[in-house]
Amino acid sequence: MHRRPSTALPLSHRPKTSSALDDPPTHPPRFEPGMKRTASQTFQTHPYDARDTPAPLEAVREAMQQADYAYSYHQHSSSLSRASAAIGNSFKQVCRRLSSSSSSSRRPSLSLLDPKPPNSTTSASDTPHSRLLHHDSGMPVPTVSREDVSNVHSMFSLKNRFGSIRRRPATSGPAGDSARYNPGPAPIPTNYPTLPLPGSAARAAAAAANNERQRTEKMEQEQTARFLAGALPSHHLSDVMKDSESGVGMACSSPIQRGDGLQEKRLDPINYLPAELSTMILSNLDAPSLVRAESVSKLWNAAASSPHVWRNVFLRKYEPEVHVSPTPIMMGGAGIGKSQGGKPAPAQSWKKMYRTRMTINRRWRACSPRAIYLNGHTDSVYCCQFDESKIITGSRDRTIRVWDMKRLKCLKVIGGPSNRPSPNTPPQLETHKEMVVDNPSMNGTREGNAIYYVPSDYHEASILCLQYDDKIMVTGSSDHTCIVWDITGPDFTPMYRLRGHTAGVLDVCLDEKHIISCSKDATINVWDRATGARLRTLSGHRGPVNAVQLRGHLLVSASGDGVAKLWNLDTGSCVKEFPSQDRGLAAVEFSDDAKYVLAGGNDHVVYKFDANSGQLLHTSTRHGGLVRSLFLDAHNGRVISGSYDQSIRIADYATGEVFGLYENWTTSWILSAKSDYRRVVATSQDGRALILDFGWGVEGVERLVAA
Amino acid sequence: MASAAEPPKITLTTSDNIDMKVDRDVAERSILIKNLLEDLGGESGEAIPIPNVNEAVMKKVLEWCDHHRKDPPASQDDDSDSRKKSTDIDDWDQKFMQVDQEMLFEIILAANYLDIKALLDVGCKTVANMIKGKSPDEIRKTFNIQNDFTPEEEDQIRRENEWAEDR
Repeated sequence: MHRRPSTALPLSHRPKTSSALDDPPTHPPRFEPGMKRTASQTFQTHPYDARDTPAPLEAVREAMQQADYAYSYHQHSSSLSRASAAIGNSFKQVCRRLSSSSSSSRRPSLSLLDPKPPNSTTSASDTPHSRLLHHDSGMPVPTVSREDVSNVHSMFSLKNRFGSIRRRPATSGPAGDSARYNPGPAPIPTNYPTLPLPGSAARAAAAAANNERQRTEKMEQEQTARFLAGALPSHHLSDVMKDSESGVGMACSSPIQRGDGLQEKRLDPINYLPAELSTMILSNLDAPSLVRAESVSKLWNAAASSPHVWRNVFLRKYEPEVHVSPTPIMMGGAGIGKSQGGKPAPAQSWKKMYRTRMTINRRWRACSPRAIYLNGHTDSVYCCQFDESKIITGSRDRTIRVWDMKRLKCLKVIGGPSNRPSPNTPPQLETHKEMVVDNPSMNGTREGNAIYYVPSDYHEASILCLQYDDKIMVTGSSDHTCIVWDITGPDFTPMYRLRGHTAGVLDVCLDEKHIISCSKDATINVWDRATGARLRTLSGHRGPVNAVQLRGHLLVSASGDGVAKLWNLDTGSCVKEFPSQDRGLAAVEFSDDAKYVLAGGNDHVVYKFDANSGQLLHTSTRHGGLVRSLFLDAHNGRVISGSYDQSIRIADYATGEVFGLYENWTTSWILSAKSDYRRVVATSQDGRALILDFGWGVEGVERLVAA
Repeated sequence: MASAAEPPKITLTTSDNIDMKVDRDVAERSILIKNLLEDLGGESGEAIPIPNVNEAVMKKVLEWCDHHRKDPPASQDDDSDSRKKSTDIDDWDQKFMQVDQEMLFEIILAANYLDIKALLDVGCKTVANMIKGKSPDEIRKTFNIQNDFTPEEEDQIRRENEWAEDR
């Protein structure tokens, strides 16, 4: 058997991979010493650099808009010259507004963008930007505010960290422990420009100006005047109708052009339109715009803070879209709260949930997860899948483990009678300093024995891959077969085996009708899910097929021959090929909308291909080793890659830019890594599953869970 | 009855008592009118009264319907449909919506009353785009709204919402 030596393990420990049969499905890795990255974490790209540059521009643009406004206002006024006294007045106001807005811009000031010394005590040092700057410098930070959750490389213990607490005003942010997990945006300059708005003078000017206008616009003027006098009961359609009956002149069969931002009439839509239409309008906003709408007026506040609006805004932003049928199996949770009959349940705290999601996203960007280690497997953990309540892992120790996602403990170990783990295994391994849970293995204890379950059929070799939905689980093994399990009951019951491959089964996927398996024997088999009968064999790859994924009737596969192929499941034909630059491919992902194919492998990079044209769109920055695992969370815009360089990388799906690098959080290779809205679950050759939890301690995170 | 070559026409009577002749398929972009016509059996040449929309607005609405007469019918699953990602409006619609605010709001009201989902949607998005990215002050300017908050109230709302700032 291949038990690991029980000596204390150095960071570089890697259990040996013995028989060829058990080999991880890719080329044997060669570790050139130069390739191994150092432990000190250096970001190759600096996401905030790129993001920050527009800020000053933004400020300039805004100032220009203000100027534009003043200009058009002026023009308007001068074209209606006779009300000159009043105009002069209003122009002065505009000028005042301009000057005040330049001094109290609500954009972060330039100082905020400057790299501050790490121990700067200004509030600006709490921004994510400067956090990353700390981070990048690789320097220990002498004083770390409790908000500074991102400094994963700080050498200070929590206790030390808490020694130098600096409080924000209680109103502007969370206090206490939770603040560490709930990073907020930087405080912003106190006020939006709040000069009294086109005040009475300006309005008098407008009214006076209106009186000067041409005869043909008389009716409009009257209405404006009445509106300005507050006399227009704008709610009442009938009144408006009467107005039009009385002949409000509007040439509307063709578009009326607005001149230079000048509008004849300005009406409050929230006041003018019934509540349900206000809701529809505001539902189109994003959160930053919506919260600004809340402080326009009391009426707007009531309309914009309505749960109906926030529900729509929340769901539009966070509800995963479904592109193909059948819907691909979802990893983890959707993070959109309770559901009822397949739809989001009513009466939830949408605005708070939005806030929680935003906080979690900030923590992804600030690279500040907590680490949870799951101990129990006694050898390489090759595969995993998880949902909101459980994680299932498969291992070279020939067992399958089911873990409780909430209690973070092992619930069940499934394996043959000879594969029971012995007491005191595995040895305790080193954990990352951001570790919050590291429950010891229960192997050999009474509890551990109680959860060991020997089913009627089991793999007598490594579990290399698995996938499950709410009814069945399929496991693939280096014993050349798959077992299909009924997982609806309390125990997982083997239903049947899929026999046909002549070498280890390296990956599986399934939908409502099919089970797809791929193998080291260079073939892909399509099975009838209901009967277990083989429907078709897809051949064409010239090397082991390491990964498969299904989207609708399209199947994508990646092979050690260096090619990813797209197959039509209905016809069994290969419709497209995506070659790597150089060497074998180990992992592949197919976007939910079936538009893009990601592949990675021995070239140490992640390729993004256009699924239609086959064109290579971009190539990621290099990992320090083989890219063993890829996971695409298209909805949250993240690509997770796991590598033999012991790192997990988080990249932006749209740009490919790596914005998170987690190196040496395990003591050996990353063999699989998957994610949902709040966490990465990764498995390693060191025998552990690792959860990078970005939702740990975040206020209200429990509201996002479906059940 | 119209001949096969010519599309059948119907007559609508607006709130200001104007009769408007319009191609039936154009008018049927309005689910309200479509249902009415179905209930009437389609044979009657009677004018259909539209008591909530005046001629000026109706002209505008029908102009939109005419341009969109070939669009696929709106889906009935409005819940998730109305949450679709983008606030993008196509060029023609954007131009079409370049009207003064009162007309814009009247089009929204009419689209709601006449049950023309796509037009209602475009109208709402147009207003939303006038709000988007603006400070409260700029929003007030845009729609001539009086700020009825005290500075303290406004400051408190701002602080409560600080988390949502996109930084």
